[in-house]
Amino acid sequence: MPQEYDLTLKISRYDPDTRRSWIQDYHLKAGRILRFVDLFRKINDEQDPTLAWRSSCEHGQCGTCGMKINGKPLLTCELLVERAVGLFKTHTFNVEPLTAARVIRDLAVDLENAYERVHFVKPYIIARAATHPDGDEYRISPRTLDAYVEATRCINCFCCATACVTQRNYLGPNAVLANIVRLMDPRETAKEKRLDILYGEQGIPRCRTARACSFVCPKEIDIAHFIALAKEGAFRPEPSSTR
Amino acid sequence: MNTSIQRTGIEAYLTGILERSEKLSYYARAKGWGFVMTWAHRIAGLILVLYMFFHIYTLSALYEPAVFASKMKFVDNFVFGFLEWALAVPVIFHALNGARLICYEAFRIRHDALMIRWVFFLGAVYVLTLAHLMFMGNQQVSAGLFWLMVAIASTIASSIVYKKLRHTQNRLLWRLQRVSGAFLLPMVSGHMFFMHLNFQAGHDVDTITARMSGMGIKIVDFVFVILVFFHAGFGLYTIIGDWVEDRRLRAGLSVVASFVMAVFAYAGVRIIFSM
Repeated sequence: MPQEYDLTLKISRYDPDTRRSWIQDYHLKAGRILRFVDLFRKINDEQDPTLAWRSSCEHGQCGTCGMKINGKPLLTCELLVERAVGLFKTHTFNVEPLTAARVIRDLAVDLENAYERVHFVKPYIIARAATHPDGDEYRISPRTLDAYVEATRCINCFCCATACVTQRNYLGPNAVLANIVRLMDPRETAKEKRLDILYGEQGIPRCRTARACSFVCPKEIDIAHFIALAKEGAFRPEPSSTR
Repeated sequence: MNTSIQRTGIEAYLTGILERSEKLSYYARAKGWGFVMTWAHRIAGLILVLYMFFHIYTLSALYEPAVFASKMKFVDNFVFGFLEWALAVPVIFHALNGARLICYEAFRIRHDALMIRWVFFLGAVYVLTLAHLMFMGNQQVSAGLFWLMVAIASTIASSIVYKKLRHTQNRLLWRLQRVSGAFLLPMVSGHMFFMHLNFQAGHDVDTITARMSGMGIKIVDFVFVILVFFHAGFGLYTIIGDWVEDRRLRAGLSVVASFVMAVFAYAGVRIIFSM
């Protein structure tokens, strides 16, 4: 196992001032446990300070550093050089921004733009159910929670939306999942409103069950499973639900 | 939810061949084989739509038996025989992969890697059996009995899917697409089998007209044609919806696609009831 790799990063560049796009090659030596965000920092330090990219927590929790590496959307703060070489069986990597939102510059995309689809599904409780008579808290049974707790791990990194077969006229897997989380949440009573969004023109009728969302999800959420639950009619409205 | 399974030796060998294709392996590594299967499903569907147009056009020659006979004589050679057989590949792939998707979406069958295996295994069995039948070309079966069996199988398959999806809030046309797909799985695969049991079954004008003159066959063929063109039309509608952002253009293209499908469905129905 080599301690150092000779890598070539073919990075998609975009200059918003001139609206010019091009691919720029960077050659660098990197240790096997460096992450891709470390490689971008190394390029900034040693070769090209103008390369724009973004990251925040760098612990796979914020979803800011999502990019496409050799076509695969993933979090670059989690991708070690050694793992990338093993996964793609090459030392040359195409690095592109996610396609789920407009590119601001180079590898940085406008996440606010991407979040509009998540905001559309109202990723919060619209109408809260009454709390337990003995206290202020709302009690959820472990069994109920188990059914959807996996889906609550979504960090909205938009890797799934980038991998999805349907790139237009679709809310995207993560936004649909945010809606499904609240449909499965017993504290939410506005189920019919949520179902209207879910089965609406930009909702699950646009899902093609390619399962690319589950395949690329950095948090290993089986998003396709939750969307398929909606297709099989697992979230039927209850008579008491409000609009 | 881990649905991956160990590959057998032969599968690893076959996957190795597939992975030599730079494009396929690029998408398979980046987005998974499910993504590749979805695109293959779509491409196979488009091939079948084009073939259906050609098929209706060819069958329209039945109005003039002499013209139909001469056309059949023209295609009676190895190259066209091979193309007829090759058509079975997109047919059975689209049918079985569609069944896999219905199983995943409606029946909570999450062993997707295993289901993909079955798609390829059953598909291979089908095309090899068809090739065998075409080479032999000497099989006889009662048309009435054959189509009765196929119609029963199609009715059962579509009823099961209908029952599962009828109370869901999915859109009506979306549900009909799945129900029609379940109906067409036995119907289309049975149709290709029947046409190649012997040469006359699919190529001799007198045999075809005699078979199509029965009311039972007319009803089966009528339902078959209507559902095929509905299924194809809705498939095109979803592709248009997935690609065209402009609402007006999307609506316009959808209307054109529906009109073309309706015209070909009408032509098909007219042929059935004129025999």
